[in-house]
Amino acid sequence: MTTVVDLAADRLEAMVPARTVYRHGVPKSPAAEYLWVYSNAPVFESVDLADSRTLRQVTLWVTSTSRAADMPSAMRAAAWGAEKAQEALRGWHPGVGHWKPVPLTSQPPQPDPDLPDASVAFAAATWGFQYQS
Amino acid sequence: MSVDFTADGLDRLVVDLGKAGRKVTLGSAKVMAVGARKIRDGMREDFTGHAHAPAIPRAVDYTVTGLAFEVGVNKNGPQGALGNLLAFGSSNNAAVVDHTAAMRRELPSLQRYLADVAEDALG
Repeated sequence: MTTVVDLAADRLEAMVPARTVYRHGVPKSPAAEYLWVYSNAPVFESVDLADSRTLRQVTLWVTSTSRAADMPSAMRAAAWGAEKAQEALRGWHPGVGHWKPVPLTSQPPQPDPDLPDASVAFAAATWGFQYQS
Repeated sequence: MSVDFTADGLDRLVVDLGKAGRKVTLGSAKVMAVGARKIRDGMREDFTGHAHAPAIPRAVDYTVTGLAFEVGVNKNGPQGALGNLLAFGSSNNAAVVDHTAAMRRELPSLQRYLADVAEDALG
């Protein structure tokens, strides 16, 4: 079954070849620079009184991470990846299921609090996808 | 072929629209304030139940600038500094809260009430 994570990850792989793209989770030894895509479970909403049509809403997170020799370089590379991911998803209409992505929020690059001893920075953004069936 | 039309009553409509503008502004401010409180309360619920941040729901609040309401985790509130981590995760830990969900739940009602305000003002 194709998920919105797969659709978005495919798009990012095609449009941002300079970054490895991980789906759902990050391996224990990730690439130095990567994009990570995951989502929550769809929320279903009825859009008519007869409950015959439902609207599925999914929130997608896209995290751009970079490990570099120093923090400024890591921040710059994380920001670059986040910007390219935004460009790849903005205005994009996947062919399957009529998912419509809408940019929701974003966070600028910052040092990873989980890895205080390494020069690892990440930037994150959320996208809303809706599908009416 | 021509189409005839008249501007009879246009002056009155302009006056009505002028009055409506004030009504819409006042009505919208009330609707937005109620909506912001509901989104804040919904976001507090969404941030509730996390073992490492039990106090963070109390850090969720909103600020007002004219008709613009910004709802979110106040970094100066209890455990507010954890807001970003919960909402955006880290390089290898996923976010645990969808901080946009409360806003999206409330949006249909907000749009409906704002439309009612506009309709009433022109009524």
